[in-house]
Amino acid sequence: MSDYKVHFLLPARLYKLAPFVYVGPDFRSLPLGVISDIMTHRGKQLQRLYPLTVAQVRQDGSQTDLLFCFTFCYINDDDKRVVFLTPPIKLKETGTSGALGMLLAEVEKLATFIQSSTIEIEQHEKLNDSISFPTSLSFLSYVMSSVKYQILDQKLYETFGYRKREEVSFFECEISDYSHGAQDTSDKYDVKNISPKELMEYKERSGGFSAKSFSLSQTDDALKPSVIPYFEDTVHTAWKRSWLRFQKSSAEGYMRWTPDLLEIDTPFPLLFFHSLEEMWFTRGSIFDWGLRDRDRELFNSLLSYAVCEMNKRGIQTVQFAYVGKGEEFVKDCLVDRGFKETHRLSLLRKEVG
Amino acid sequence: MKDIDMLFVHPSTHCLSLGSRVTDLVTFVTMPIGTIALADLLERNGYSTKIFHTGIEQMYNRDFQVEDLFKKCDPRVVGIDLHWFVHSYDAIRIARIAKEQSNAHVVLGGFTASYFAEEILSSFDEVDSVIRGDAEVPLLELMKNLKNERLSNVPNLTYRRDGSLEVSEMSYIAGEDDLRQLNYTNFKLLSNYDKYHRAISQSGDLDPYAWKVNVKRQAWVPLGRGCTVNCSYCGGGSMAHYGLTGRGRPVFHPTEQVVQTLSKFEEEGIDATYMDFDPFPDRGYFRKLFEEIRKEKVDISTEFALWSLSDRGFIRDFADTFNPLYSTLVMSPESGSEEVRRKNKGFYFGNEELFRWLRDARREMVSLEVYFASGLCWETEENFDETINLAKSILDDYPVVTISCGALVMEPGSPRFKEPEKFGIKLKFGTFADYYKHFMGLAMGLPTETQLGYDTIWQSERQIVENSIRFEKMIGTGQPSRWLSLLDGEDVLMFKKLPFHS
Repeated sequence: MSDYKVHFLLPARLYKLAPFVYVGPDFRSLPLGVISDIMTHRGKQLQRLYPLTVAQVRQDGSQTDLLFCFTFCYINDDDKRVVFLTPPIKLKETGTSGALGMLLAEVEKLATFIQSSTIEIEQHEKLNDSISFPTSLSFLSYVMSSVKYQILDQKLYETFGYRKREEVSFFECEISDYSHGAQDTSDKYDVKNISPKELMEYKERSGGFSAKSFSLSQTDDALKPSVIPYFEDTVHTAWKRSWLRFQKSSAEGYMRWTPDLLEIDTPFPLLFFHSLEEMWFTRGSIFDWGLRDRDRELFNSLLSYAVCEMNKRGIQTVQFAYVGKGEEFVKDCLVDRGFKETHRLSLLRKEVG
Repeated sequence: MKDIDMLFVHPSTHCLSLGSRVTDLVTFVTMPIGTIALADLLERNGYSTKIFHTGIEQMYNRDFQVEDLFKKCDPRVVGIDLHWFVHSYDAIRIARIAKEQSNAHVVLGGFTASYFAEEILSSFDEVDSVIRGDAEVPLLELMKNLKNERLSNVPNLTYRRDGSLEVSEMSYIAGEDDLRQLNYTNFKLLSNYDKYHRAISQSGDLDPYAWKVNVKRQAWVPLGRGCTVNCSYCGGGSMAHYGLTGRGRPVFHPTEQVVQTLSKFEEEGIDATYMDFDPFPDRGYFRKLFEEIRKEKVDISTEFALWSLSDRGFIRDFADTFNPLYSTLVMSPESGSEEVRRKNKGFYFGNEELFRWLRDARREMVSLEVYFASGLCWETEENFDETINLAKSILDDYPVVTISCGALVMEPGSPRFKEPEKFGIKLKFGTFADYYKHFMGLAMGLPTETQLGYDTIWQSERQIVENSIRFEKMIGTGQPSRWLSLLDGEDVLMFKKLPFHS
């Protein structure tokens, strides 16, 4: 492995091979090639972002980039540091086992350095070409239909000690195919739009949901859905109808959606946040959701309301994202309504140290 | 020890801080773009060469000493670039070491060396000659004529003979055919060239313990030489070029040569280029160049410094040509006051035209770098507020990746250096010795008498520095106010109304 080197680089070439949008820390300085984000955990300051490129070193000393992986550190809900890798992308269509080995060895060194005992790798299985933003559990979403050289060979990762731990699904439906059922006009629930502030407060008060969108961390601020700016009328909550006018109640669930930021031709959509208001979007994704109870009527009320709001804004294709492996109830509800699973993401994990 | 015909040494500027933590910062990292082409030209003519960038060497080997270079090789000639005045002290320091450690002929080149050629040769025995202006043919001639000591045959040369100074005729001015011959991509001549491409960026300093990390590889692209206007503060304007190089009008590198250079850059893994040569507002050259880049499918990002406003077609062309990851347009309004801008900048534009341009860039989804300056002539503390206000409105409403305001340092050869009274300037830097002393002070961590080298009749040097600090505090590290509201959830983005709803 001595003829490989790992560099701290984000090659421009990656953007042509695997276009992406980036919505994480330093999105304003990354176009200059500069990152500086520091996270603080248990009194220790750590660099968060590690864009890693593996290069092959030729005999004359010149180098060729072979493999890229966007790596970062986050704090999980057990208050532990985790090193997370977005899908490693080949920068040359060549054998990669050596380069991957070098990358993973370097990542283990990094994990030791930042005192993390867990490494996670995100892997994507395309069921068809269609996937809206966000396509990743991280803040770097590849345009999956355009990614040319992802390493999909799970067995290869297994040889390095990684095992599949989670599976997250994405569902999709054309609005024209969406089936409205009798339950949409629910006697039990009222659905209404709320403001981003109200959603933040509601989540803080809620005390947890029995069904909710999968996320890497509820506690790490950098990974919170609120880093994606809110559009008008994209947060919906369902309330139990009460005949007692002044009875205090709280919402039974919520759904939040975003237009598909992949429709903008730039790696840094947040930098152009003013321009987002000058665009029409055709796709949207419900990416942040939670239900107090696994109640079909509750789910359908929220979903139909969201679909209707999306339709009003010109959205033609609706995606329902981040459905975890155990959410059979949500999957059933979606399939009933005409949604199909279009994309699946696996999380491979290795404990180190 | 290896015999070598010519050793090029780039003198990085040092800035020593003797505070609670002693730091020796290496700053102004970029090397003049022509150094590689000069070394390559000599190689192709049978002379062995090597380039060392002292900052890069020091960055990766903290024990590096310039003396070490002379333990590795025994050069016949040592060439030191003194293009930018910031290298005034280190260039002479390295010349001194070269003389102590070898028998090499020491030659300087570049704008600062050209401007102060006679003073440098009169004051510093460690320098044997200075090439003034364009250096390609003069350097080749110097190599040929050094052995027989016929330096009078070398054009553009100021040198010492029998204790007196000789000045040869400025007869070489590079034209398009000369530029066509040059190769700027023979990186292997530069020691640690891969590290150099990692290190150069607009953010400047080399610091192994930096909290900001560069994740791209960058190279500057040669596009041409010369200028058509005279900004008050610039030592590379039209008149300065004429005085230093004899060039009356700008000359471009042929577009096919630039495309070849970019292809080679891409092959070498360079992610982004820096283009800073834009002397004609019609930009016909760039339309042709961009078309050829697209045709050749060169995949590279570009940081493009515009010298004047462009039309939307140019911005669209730019966006269509370059990889968007690290591509930015650089605009320097310098002042928020139209009057101050008019009196200082060669290419004037009003604020309304500037906002029209900014809207175009936003529509074309191009990232922007915006730069202002303090210390302009006719600038007062009051009209500097216009600069702060303009910067704030740009930061709030346009896709800005960086916005800053630097205090201008007096550039030798600039209109206000040459005619200080006309521009309301009280000079503190007047000679090469002034620059030398100033940068020696910085390198040794000593207090310096002046930071910028001038007062204006409107503001003291201290006020000028304070203005730039005030700007950075108010604008430089800020975020657009609406973005902060969006993050707090106090504001939301609106959807564009669908046509049938309007």
